Amino acid sequence: MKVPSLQARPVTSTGRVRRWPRLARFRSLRDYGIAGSFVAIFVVLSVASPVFLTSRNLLNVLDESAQVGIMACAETLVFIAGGFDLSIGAIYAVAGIVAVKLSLGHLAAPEALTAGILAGLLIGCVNGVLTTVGKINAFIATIATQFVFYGVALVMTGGFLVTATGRSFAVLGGGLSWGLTYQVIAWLVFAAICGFLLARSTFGRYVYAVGGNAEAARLAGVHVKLIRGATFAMSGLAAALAGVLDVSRVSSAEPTAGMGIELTVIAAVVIGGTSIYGGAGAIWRTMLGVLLLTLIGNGFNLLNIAATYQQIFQGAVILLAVGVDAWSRSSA
Amino acid sequence: MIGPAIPGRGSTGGAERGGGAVPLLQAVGIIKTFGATQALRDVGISARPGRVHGLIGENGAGKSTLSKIVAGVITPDSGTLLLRGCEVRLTSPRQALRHGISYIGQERNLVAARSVIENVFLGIESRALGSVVSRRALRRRYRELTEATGIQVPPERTVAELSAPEQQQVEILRALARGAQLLVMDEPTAALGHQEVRSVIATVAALRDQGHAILYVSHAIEEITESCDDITVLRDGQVVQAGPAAGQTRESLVTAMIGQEPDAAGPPRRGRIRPPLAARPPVARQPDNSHAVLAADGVSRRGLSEVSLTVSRGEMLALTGLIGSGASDTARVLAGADRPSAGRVQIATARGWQAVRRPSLSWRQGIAFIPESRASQGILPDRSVAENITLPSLRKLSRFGVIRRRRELAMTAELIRHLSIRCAGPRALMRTLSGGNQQKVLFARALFAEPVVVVAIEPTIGVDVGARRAIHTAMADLAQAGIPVALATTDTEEALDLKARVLVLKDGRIAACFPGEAATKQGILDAALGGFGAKP
Repeated sequence: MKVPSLQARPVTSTGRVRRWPRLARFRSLRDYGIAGSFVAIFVVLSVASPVFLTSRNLLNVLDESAQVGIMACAETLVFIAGGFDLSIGAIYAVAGIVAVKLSLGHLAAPEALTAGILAGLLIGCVNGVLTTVGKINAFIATIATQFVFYGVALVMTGGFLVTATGRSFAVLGGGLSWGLTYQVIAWLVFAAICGFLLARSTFGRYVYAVGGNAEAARLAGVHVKLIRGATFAMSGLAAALAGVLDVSRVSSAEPTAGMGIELTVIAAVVIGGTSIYGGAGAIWRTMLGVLLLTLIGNGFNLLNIAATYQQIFQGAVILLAVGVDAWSRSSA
Repeated sequence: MIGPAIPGRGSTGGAERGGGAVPLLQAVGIIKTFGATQALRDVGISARPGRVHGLIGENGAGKSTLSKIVAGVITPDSGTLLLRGCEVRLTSPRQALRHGISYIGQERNLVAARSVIENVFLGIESRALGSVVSRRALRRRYRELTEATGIQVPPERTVAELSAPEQQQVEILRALARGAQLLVMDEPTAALGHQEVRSVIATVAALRDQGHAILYVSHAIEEITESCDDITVLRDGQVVQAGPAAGQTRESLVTAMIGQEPDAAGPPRRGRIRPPLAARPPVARQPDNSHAVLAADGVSRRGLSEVSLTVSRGEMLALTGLIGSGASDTARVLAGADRPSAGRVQIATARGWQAVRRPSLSWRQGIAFIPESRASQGILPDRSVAENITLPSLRKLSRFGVIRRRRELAMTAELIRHLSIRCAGPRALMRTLSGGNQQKVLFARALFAEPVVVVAIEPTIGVDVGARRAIHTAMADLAQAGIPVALATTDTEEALDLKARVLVLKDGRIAACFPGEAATKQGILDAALGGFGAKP
């Protein structure tokens, strides 16, 4: 599994400075900062590297983004509803292991992969129940379940790599002949579903309402716990989908898969501009946030910049994104 | 000894009776406005050591504002504060405390998870003890404090475990430990039961005997007459009566509080004017049990005991009473926002009577609810006006969970026109609207739900005259269309303006019931204050 690296938005890029002459306009910065940053880095890389604008490189960027992207779309729903899910890395691992194990236990590949995804959905439901009915703080609850699920992954594998046999298991890890992989298609479809739910469905309205003002939503007749729980279930489903896509690609699963991926996912959501306080955000933002992270890692490689700087930029970008969110609130 | 300021322009609190000492604190010519509302118009008051000065008035008369100014919680627009005869400017409660003035409000300001003694000496441990906190010395100082005041709270108990009056006592101890000489107590008994009120009054008496000055703010006449040495009555932001408590009776205070002739033309109350009577259609709103729509049967919970009532078709019902009387709690239970600990609330539906349990069910059962606090319980500030209106009724607008947005925009635009909500359109963000227009949006939300009954709490609080009139007209229209409206309001005028059947609550019980025509301001206030209104 490749985790896309993080790097700072080009704060100093002249284009941004010109568009927002005064940094005091945090609102517009928060609203469109991600779009501006994305365009800026895209242009910079197009000019700086002859390889960047090739279809092969761009498809590669999409492919690298896909698994994080799937999880980030669902995490966006969790965030908007006012929750937080840190256990997605563990769910990612467990789902892959379940799929591989079941395929070894004489289950056909499609069923085994589906079972892996359903396992993630089930685990997501557990998270949902703990944080709503159980009233445990989502941050703490999902740290705890993360430990539990990684433990489950270890028990299931005995700590070893488990390898799937049979070519049909690896079909999902492939792609179309011209280079578009199935996991990219899965990401785009899943993002479209999440985006549609948020923007057009009653469920989406409830998600925004619950995260924006839970008590007001409750008094307006919204079933707050059900909505919040459902976002955790979707998060579990998405993490499992990403995990299953990964094991199908490499035909093996290991208990340490996905470790730390949740941080990348959360960073992508936050960088996109979805509020960590709930009630505001959008799927397109998260898509751009994920792509921005991958683009920057891609840029490091193409421009031969030492990879050691990546982590420093990771932290800076996250601070900047969360800072803009906080400042725009206090100045509003 | 107190010399309360006599009413009148620029008065400097003359009329000092007995005791020649300079007042500990004297406020002169205080003026304060909030937006368009003039809360205090040239008001004076003074406090002397060893006296309890009662400050009484109706809800919104300005007594809480005045007490906060005296304690430095808010600053006046103009006017002077004299501390032992010298002018001071109080800009924060902290600074006031340095001058020996402590404000004890309705909200507790304690660290709930720590012990009583830690709270009492929080931040001032080192004054006596150097950098290491000596538990023994703290305990000694605590014992001295409690012996001096007669307040008995176990020092090692956690504050969270204490009852409401005990927490209040901890706050008093904390103020005294910091050298407070004037205690400003704002509605100290607002949320307390009968027994607890007794203990507060005893504490106040002990503090007075110790030589402290106390400003006691309340709307409860019995408490004031019992515990105060001097009484100042505020009405519409002005001092209407001031003097020693001796010679004041309950009746004279009520008359002062509501004015000689409640219906006589006077300055508009809190900047509001009454909606023109002609604007409202005359409707007979007699309760009719055969058309009961919503019924509470022996409902009890914290703050309510055995409340029973019915809301009938086409009726306008006003639940009123003093703050903390249980009027808004009753409305919340009626709407399903809170669950009763005993008794039940039921609504008549096509399938017979059904229990009202929680908002997610009650909206579907036909109960539209407009909650008390617009900002914290009502609106979604970062979503559009349209979304705020349709949130409880999305089922009507959607097919297979997909919202028909064009229809939503058209229908909400229609409601925006109908209620003349001033906004940039249905897509405008809720937080760009003024308070009155936000309240109208909540009303539009209720209308959009096509309810069987509307339950509203303080639907016109903090809104301007125009919005108030519009909301009143809309409620009257609803009632005329057969949809009953039950509203909880602390504004007596509102209940009278709407020609509603009035239920007066006191201490969580229904104290009196007035059919529409029989309600008078005097009668309602009498019942609310614990007097002799008609029994239901």
